[in-house]
Parts: sequence; C-alpha cells; structure tokens
Amino acid sequence: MKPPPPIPPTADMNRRDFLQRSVRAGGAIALTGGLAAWLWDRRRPGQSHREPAVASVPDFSLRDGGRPLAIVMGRDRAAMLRRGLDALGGIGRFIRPGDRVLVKVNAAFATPALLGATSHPDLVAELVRQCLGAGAAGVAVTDNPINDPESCFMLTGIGPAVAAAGGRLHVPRASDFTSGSVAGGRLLRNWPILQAPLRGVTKLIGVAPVKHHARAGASMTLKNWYGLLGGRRNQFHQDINGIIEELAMLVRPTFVVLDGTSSMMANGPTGGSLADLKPTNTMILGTDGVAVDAFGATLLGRTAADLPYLARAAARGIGTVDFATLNPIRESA
Amino acid sequence: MATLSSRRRPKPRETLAAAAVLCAILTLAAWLLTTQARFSPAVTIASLAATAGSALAPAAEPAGAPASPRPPDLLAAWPAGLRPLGPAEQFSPETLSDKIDGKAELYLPAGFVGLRCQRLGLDGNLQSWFEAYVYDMGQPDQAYSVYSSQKRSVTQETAVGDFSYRAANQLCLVHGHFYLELIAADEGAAAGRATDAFAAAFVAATPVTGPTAAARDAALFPREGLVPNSVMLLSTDVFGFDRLNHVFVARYRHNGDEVTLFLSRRASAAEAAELATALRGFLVDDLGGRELPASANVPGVLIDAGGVYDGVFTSGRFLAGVHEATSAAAAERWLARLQTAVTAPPP
Amino acid sequence: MKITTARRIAQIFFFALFVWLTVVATVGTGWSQWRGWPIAWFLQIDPLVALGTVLTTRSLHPPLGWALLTIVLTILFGRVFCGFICPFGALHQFVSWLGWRGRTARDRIAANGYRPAQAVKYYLLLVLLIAAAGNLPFALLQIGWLDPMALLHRSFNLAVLPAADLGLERLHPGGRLYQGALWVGALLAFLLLLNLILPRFFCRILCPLGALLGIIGRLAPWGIGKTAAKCTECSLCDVACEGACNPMGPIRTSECLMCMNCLDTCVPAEPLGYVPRPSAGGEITAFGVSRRGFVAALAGGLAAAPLARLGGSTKSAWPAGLVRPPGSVAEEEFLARCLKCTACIRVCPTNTLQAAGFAHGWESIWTPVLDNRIGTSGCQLNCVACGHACPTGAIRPLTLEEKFGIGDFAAQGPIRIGLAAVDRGRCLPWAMQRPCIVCEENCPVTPKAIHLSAVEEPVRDASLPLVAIDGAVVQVGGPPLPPGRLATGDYAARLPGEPLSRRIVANTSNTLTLDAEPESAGDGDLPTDGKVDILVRLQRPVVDPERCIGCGICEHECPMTGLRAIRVTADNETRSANRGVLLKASF
Repeated sequence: MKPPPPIPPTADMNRRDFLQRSVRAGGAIALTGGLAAWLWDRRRPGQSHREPAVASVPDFSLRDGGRPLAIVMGRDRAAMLRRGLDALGGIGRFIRPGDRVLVKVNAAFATPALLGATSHPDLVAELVRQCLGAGAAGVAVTDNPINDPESCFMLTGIGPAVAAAGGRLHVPRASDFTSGSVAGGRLLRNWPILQAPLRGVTKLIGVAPVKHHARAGASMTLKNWYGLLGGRRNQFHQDINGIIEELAMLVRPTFVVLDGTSSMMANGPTGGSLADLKPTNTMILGTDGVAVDAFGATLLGRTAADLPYLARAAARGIGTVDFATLNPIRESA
Repeated sequence: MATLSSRRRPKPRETLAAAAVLCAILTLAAWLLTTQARFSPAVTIASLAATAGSALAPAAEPAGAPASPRPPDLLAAWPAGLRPLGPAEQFSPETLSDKIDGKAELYLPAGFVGLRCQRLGLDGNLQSWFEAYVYDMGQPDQAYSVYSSQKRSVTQETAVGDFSYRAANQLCLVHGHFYLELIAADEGAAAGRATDAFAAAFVAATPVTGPTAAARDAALFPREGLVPNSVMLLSTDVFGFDRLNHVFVARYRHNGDEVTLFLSRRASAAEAAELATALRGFLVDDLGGRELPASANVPGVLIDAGGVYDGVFTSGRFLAGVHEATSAAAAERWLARLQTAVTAPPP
Repeated sequence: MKITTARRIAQIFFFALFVWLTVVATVGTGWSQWRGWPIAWFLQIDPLVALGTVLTTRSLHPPLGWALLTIVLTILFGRVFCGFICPFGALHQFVSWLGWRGRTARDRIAANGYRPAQAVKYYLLLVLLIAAAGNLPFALLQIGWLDPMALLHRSFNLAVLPAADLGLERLHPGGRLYQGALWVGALLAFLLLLNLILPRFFCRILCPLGALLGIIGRLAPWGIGKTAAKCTECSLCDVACEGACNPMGPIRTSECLMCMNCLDTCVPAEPLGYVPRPSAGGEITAFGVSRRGFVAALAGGLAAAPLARLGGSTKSAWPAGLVRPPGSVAEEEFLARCLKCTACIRVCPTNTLQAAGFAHGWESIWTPVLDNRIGTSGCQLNCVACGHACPTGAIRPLTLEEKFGIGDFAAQGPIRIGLAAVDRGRCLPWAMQRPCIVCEENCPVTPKAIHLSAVEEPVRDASLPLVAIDGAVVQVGGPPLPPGRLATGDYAARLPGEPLSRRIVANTSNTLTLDAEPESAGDGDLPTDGKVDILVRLQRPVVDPERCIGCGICEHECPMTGLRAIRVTADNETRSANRGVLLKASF
C-alpha cells in the first residue's frame, strides 16, 4: 500500500488531468465497441462449417498389366512370400528404390501369433525385408487395433519382428485420425480415418490372415482395411457388407498378401483356441483384393457367394469375384 | 445515518444528476412495457400449440420419403400487421382429405385442383389468428359452385373478389377460379379486419381470368319470393340424376308456396331438349312419378312425384323447371313465372 | 433531489424488476406470464457473462450485447452498476442495513474501513477468467458459481420462488420440485448472513463481477474525491460507505460502489464531491493484489480446465443420464456457454428440467438436465421455451420446424435429446405378464417411436383339467379361479386339440365363458379330458431408435414408479457427433 502522493492540484493540472482521463475513457469505449463488433457472432451457436473431405486415401494400385494373382502352397511363410512375389514378377515390380512403403497388418487383438487372429510376425518381417531389399527408403507398419495398440503390437510379435527387420512401427495416436469420406460412399462420410501414417507413402501393402468372422462371414484382405478407421466404428456392424464394400472403394493398395498357412475356421475373428485353426497351407498374393478374398473363401469351405461384400465390391469395378479368369499362377514353396 | 444526512441540501447539479437517473429508469420502464407486448417466439409457439392442438405436430411422412420442398407462402408480401404463424401447407386431390376430411367429397367432384393453407396472425395479438384456405377449383364456375353450395344462411355481403360474404367468424369469397375460406379463431373485430386485409391483398396479388360467365344466369331467377342466399350452382348428380349437372337452383317461399326453381344453360337447344326428355324419363320411369295431362298455361311437362310436383321445360339453350313444389297449382304458377323470366331476360 | 435518493429509487426499481422478471418466467400470455418480458435481461447486461462467454467461445452472442451498456456506464462513471443497478447488491445493502442499524457510528466506521481481504474478489475473477480462456476442449465456464446475476437468478428460480409458492401454487399449479434446492437456498442464506460480519461482504470480498467492474471503472474520468484540503478527517464518510473504499484518505477507486452515501455524511465543510479529477486526498488505483497471490490465481486458473476435463466427462466417460434440453449445443460448447443461471429450468412448463447435482460431474453442477420422474410430464413436443430463455446460446432458440426436422430442416431430421430403452427385466408385459403399453400410448412422435410386439403366453399354473364344454362355457377343474379375474379381455383359453386360443369373456370359480363356441363343440366328439391352457395376450413395447427423440414422456408415464421400466439416456442425441447409436447412411 503506497502512501498517497502529495499533489497540490492547480486548476490547470486538474483540467489537463480530466482531459487525459476523458481521452482514456473514450478510447476504452471505442476499443470495447470495436472488440464487440469484431467478436459479434453472426452464426448460430453450435453451428460448424465443416465440409466433408472426400477421397482421403490416395490410390496406390499398379495398373501395369502384370500378373494379378499368385497362389502358393507351403508351410514356411517367408518362403511362400518370396515364391509368390517371384511368381508375380518379383518384388521389384512393386517396390522401386526410394519408395516409402506402408504395410497395413492385422494386429487387431492382443493375442499370440500362434492363435492366428493376427498377421503372422514371420510374414510381416519377411515382407519388410523384401521391401527394404528392393531399395525402399523406409517401411512403416501400422494398424488401429481393437485392443490396446501397444499390447497388440507387442503380444502378436509384430512389433519386435518389424523392428528386427528394419521397419518402423507406427502406433496410432488420437491426432493421427483425420476426417475423410469416400467418393460415392454412403457410410464413410466425414469419418475419422488413420491418415497420418499414409503421409508421404508411395506404396501400400495389406497383410491379413484368413479368418472366420461371425458377422461378415470371413475376414480377409478387404475386411483388414477396417483397421484404418477410427471413431465409433462398431456402428458399422449394423451394415457389415456395406462397410467392407466402401473400404474396398476407399483403399486401393499396391498389392495384398492373404495368409492361409493356417486358417481360423470358427469363433472368428478372435478365435482363442488352436482348435479353431486348420492348416490350409496356402498363401495368396495379388493386386486384386476381391479375387484374393474370393479364393481365400474357399479355404474356409465357403464360396464368394457366401460373402455378399465381394460381389458388391466387384460391382463397383474394384476387382473380380471370379478369380479363375485371372489365370492365377500356382506354385509351391 | 438519517441524522447525518439530513443536514445537507443538494446542489442544483446533484438534483440534475438525480433527475437524469430517474429519467433513465423511466426510459427503461417504457422500453420494458413495449417489449413485453412483443411475445417471445416460445410463448407464441406454445399458445398456437394450445389453440391449434395437434395441427402443429409434424405431419406423418412416410419413412424414407424424400423431403418435400416447403411450399411457398400464400402471399409473397404480407400486408402490414399480418404475419404467417407457420409454414404454408399444400394438398392435392389425393391428399385433400388429410386436411378437410370428409368435406373433400364436396370439392373433388366439382373439379378441385389444389388447396393451399396457412395460419396467419396479427402482430402482438395471439387470440386473433385465422387460417386461410385457398382452393384452386380450375374454373370460375366450379369455384362459384363450391362457394354457392356452402353459403351459410345468415351472411353479410361484402365486396371483395367476385362473390363474397362474411358469416360469423369466416369470410368466404370467389376470386376467378379460386375459392377462399378465411376462418378466424374468434368473431372479434380484429380477426375480421385481418381476414379483410388478407382477402384484399390476395385479390390484388393474384391475377385471374375474370368472374364466372355462368353466374350471370343466376341473375335470371325471379326476385320475388326468393329465399336469401339460396341460389346455388350444383355441379353433379343434381336431384340424384347422374346426367344433370351444372344447374343453378334457388328456393322460393311466397304466399304459402314452397318450391325450388332450377335453371341450366346447355351447349345447344337440342341438348337442352334431349336432357329435358331424359329428366322426364328419370322422374317417371326411375322414381315412379306420374305425368299430369298437358295444360295450355304450363310450359313443358308437370309430374306428380308422390305428393310433390316437379316440372321441366326448355327455352332455347336453357333447361329449367320447378322441383318439389308443394302443390300442382304452385308448380304451375312458378313454371310460368320462370318461363317469363328466362325467355325475356332483363337488359 | 439528493443523488442518494435517486440511488435508492433505482435500487428498489431494479430489485423489483428482477423479482418481476423471475416471477413472470412461465410460458404464457397472461399478464403475469412471460409474454415478451426480457426475462434474462439482468444476465444480458452482466459484463462478466459477456466476457466469460467471449473467452470460452471466441465470439459475442448477440443478446449479450447489452453488457456493452454496462461497460460504457462503468468506463464513464465507475461502479454505478454495483451502487444503482445490481439487485443482488441492493439485497446485500438492505440486509446490511438491517444488521447494522443499531450499531454505533464507531462500529460502523470500523466495519467500513478497507480490508486487504477485498483483494480476494480479484483473485477469484482471475481464476474464473483464466479457466475460461482456454481453447474449446479446455474452456471452462464456471463464473456461474459466483456471478451475482447467475447466482441470484438461480437462488430465486430454484429456492426462493418455489419456497414462497409452497402451498399457494400461484406461480405453478401443483408447485415445483427442484432437487438440490436446499443447497442453493442455503448458499444464498449464507451469503446474506455474511453481511452481519461485514456490511456487503459479498460485494466487497467475493463478487467477481464487482472486481471486473472495479478494473474497468478505474478509467472513469469522474469519481468520488476530496475537492480541497479542508477535510477535518472526521471519518464520518465511512459511517455508511458501502464499498469500504476509504473516501477520506487516499481513496480506493476500484472499491468505490458509487453509493454516494459519503456525500450525505460528509460534514460540515463538504470537502467530498463527485469530481472530475483525482481526489485531493490521493488515490490508490492498485487492487491490493499481491504478486504471490496473482501467480497462485493464474496457476489455479490455468490448471482448472485441464484438471476438470481429466475426468473424461466430455469424452468417453460422458454421463449417460445427462440428457440436455432440446436445442442444446454439443457438450463441450454447452459447458462453454452455460451460466448455471437456471432460466431454462424456470421456464420449463413441466418441471422436468432440473439443475444437475454433482452426480453428473462437478463441472455440470446447476446446468439443466431432464429428470423425467420429477416433472408433470417429459419434454413437451410443441415446446421450445428453454432455448428462447437461454441468454447465452447454450440452448439454441428453436422453431418447431427445426425441432421436428421438417420444412427447411428436413435434411437434418428431428432433434433427438436421447433414446428411450425398455428395461425388459422391469417392464410389466415383458417381465411380469401384465398388460400395460402406457409408454406406447403416450409416445408423442408421429409415427410412434414405440411399437408393440404381440405375444400370447401361458400364465402361471396355466393348465386346468377340462371337465365339460357346454356351448361357449367351458367347465374346468383344479383350484377355484378368482371370479372375473380372467375376464379383463387380456386372457384366452386354448382347448385340447384346438390350434387357436379364444378370448375369455367371463369366468367363475370353475367355468370359463369364451367369446364363441369352440369349433369342436358342434362335432359331437367333444374332448372330455385333457387340459385347458390359460393364456395371456401381451403387447410388449419395442423402441425404434430412428424415431425416438428422447422426450421422456414414456419414462414419466411408466407405472414402475421407482426405477422406470423405460428410461431415457443421452445416447443417440443429435447434438453430439460421437454419441450416435445408429449407423448413419446417406444416400
């Protein structure tokens, strides 16, 4: 508390002081008015001006006229992958030096690899090595799992395998999701999509196991793109065929790998018991995810007709259900 | 405190400041009093919901139906003091009964094309709202037909549109091929003024091809004995006869006689004659009437339809006659009067 | 006329106006109803409300533009709002006057001296404003705890008026019930009693609005001050000083409430005046805020919003029972706008709007929430009162078209505030074989959001031995039936060998009268043994989530009076993008 300033006021000082105060008050009023005019809300409360973004995932598909489908028999996933890639024209057909590759695995559940609910780490690691060997500048591996991401990547073995192979794991964070829509879609409108790991990427590869899926019939490479969605995506189970169709429209990968070395025949998509698995000793590689999944369905004792989303995706011009017309090359490793 | 403060006398400047404070309070009070009369939309909506009941509830729309565009207001510009209380509604022949229920049976045979409705009110007066029904009847005759056939018995003639009257809380009028009913929530003067203002504005803003040509035929009826407001234009199934359409009817009560006269201008004299024969056949063959012997002072034929008497004659393109006269003599008298009126039309 | 007389008239006027505006806040056109009265006017002229919402929303909601008037008045004349206009200030002044009436001048002079505690209100203001200044997910508007307008409105709406109306039912037939009214009333009583410790305790020490006006009022060219050095230092100016601003010494300009009492008590040479220059006795323009206190308040304000939101109440842990009134904006923005003034709760015609307690998170306290058990009904279909009462746009003013999603709003669809769900374990026809369907009947939506699934089930001890059939009358054995029990029209009997049941129209202790003769009755080969099955025909309510708007009328009407068998939660509310239940497909 300061002592009062000793002021012997004179009339002149009083006038000057009053003028000063008046100018200050006038300025404050003008400032308040200006601020109010500037901040004056002409919109309704709660109104937002977000326009839905469209086609947020780039098209990574190759249209080089090369062989679209290879089916490899065997038990060693790494060998099958190499064999399959060779059959399709070699990894060099897909990955050029300097490419930045994103591998979308299925790491949905925090369960060990041997239960077959997730992409096998051996396969993922070999794919990373193949890409790097072809000169890729970097290989990132990602998924937005259903269980806790860190645990999923750790317990499935994918995380350590990727690191050992020289790839980089991208564990999604909340800020990695941005709103996007798929052109011509009716479900994926303004929906959070895992887009951050796609930034700067030139090649996209999908790797999925063959699994029974209680709601969708089967979960293979097309259903695998579900892992790029964020938000309350469980609502999509109200129209599962519709969402897989739109995922096929949204994501056009460079190629996909469907691992049917062992297939989950029942209790999918989580499984949980070795009894749910059956050795089917097959790996399918292809640039047409619809055809790949259509063949994969046969491993589960089903046909493409049992999986309505395949026909719907085919009707969109994304691929063909009738894989035989693609003259798949059959190899064994 | 009181003892301390009582010593001081306020300076003039202080009194001035105090007066300024009181003036500000008075200004504020005046503003408050004016603003309280301009009702909050929440109050308006609640009051309307209370008076109009479920009418404000959303119309049931079939699931998945595409959203229909909102119909435009009845007037592009509203007269001063009048404002819409809700969106306009629109009805087609298929949906008319949704709005007016069984009364649709009256409009549909008369050539109904479309109905538009809107609730309108006066600024600051929620009690005096009204609903305007604008029926597009396609033809002026048809508009006149639904107008005349619903005319209330106690009316007060007004001069808006081609034909109009006010009865209790409603104003009805014909404007070209439009028939308007303006039905107010009460019989107050304010609502009356509001409906008048709307009717005048609608007539001014809506160009039409002109009044019905047929209505001048109504003027041919004899004046003497005419029951006020009893002239009607009936569109179809007149007297239950399916071929008889587009007929003016008028009721008479005079010196103990009670009759209905009718009059219809046909396309040609031949058609009129043919229709007269057919009507006679309907009355005799279908309804079991008995034709009375022809008489020199009776034009056309006279039929005893079981205690009441019908007569029909033609005069050029006109088909005319009496319906349900209480005695044969009365039927003869009124046939003669009608013949005179029809054959020698006033200039 | 003395300026203090004008001040008293103004205070009485504004207090009466305040009471009037709270009394009339019921929907209707009667002389003592809402009509067009600006029922939230005192909140609109409150600069703290305007500033707080500007900080949280980065925009000025137009109805709050009235606050500019108060700001301009304060810039020109100082805290005249506190002295002349504020109804809460008037109330405190009145209570202080009552409490200090008999005390000696010496006591009063001592009580009206400046106290360092008067800086507390600046700390409070700082905490509240800094907490509000974050970006949207972290903008915390909690000024309503202490803002005098919000506090007084809340106290009147939830406690004073309902208590005064108890037994009278003049304001509301049937009276009003408000959960937590006790605490609201107790807080008001406590704040009023503080005046016995110190006159105008709240205004001097606690009021954040007063603090804000004190800061703004420093700019005023005019003020109370000594004109010359003729002052005898008699201290009589402090006898009735409302603001404890020390007019005799160096005056605390930001504490002066412009009550003008010192002009009256200054004797005899009248050195005090309302002057266009600094007081000859000196001025202290500082607020008495210490650096340490400032930093502490700043830190408190900065920490408040993140800490409040850590609970996740606006994210995945949102309280399902927090059903907001129709027109409410999404929860984060809602909390950034809601003042806890309870204007919406006051105008709600059914009393279903309640002030939230701590159960929905402390941040939401006193914000509006629907409680369908308390009111006279749920949220009314044709009512949009709450949005038109809200001064800050936390609840938007709706038209019926927007509420119903018709006309221009057909693309958006109706506004849903929640979703009703049947508790099949409590529902009479689902769980207890009793016909009911009250919820379906009361659903106001067209077409109804509740439809019925019809079933026919055997009742308890359903099988009775058949004794004889005589026309439509069937004689049965077994324990005697309560006469008439099965005659309600809801029961049916199935005879042995007959595939279909028939409605029972009457029963005695051992006979059932059916609505028609059984088909086999005419064949001559009547079954003479076997069992008659007694069935109850039930219609079970099923909610259609596409149609349900969450109005809660079903919940209100449900005969399970304790925990209702159909209850509304905020799931599927349209105001939040992430609380939808149904997959939305756009074609």
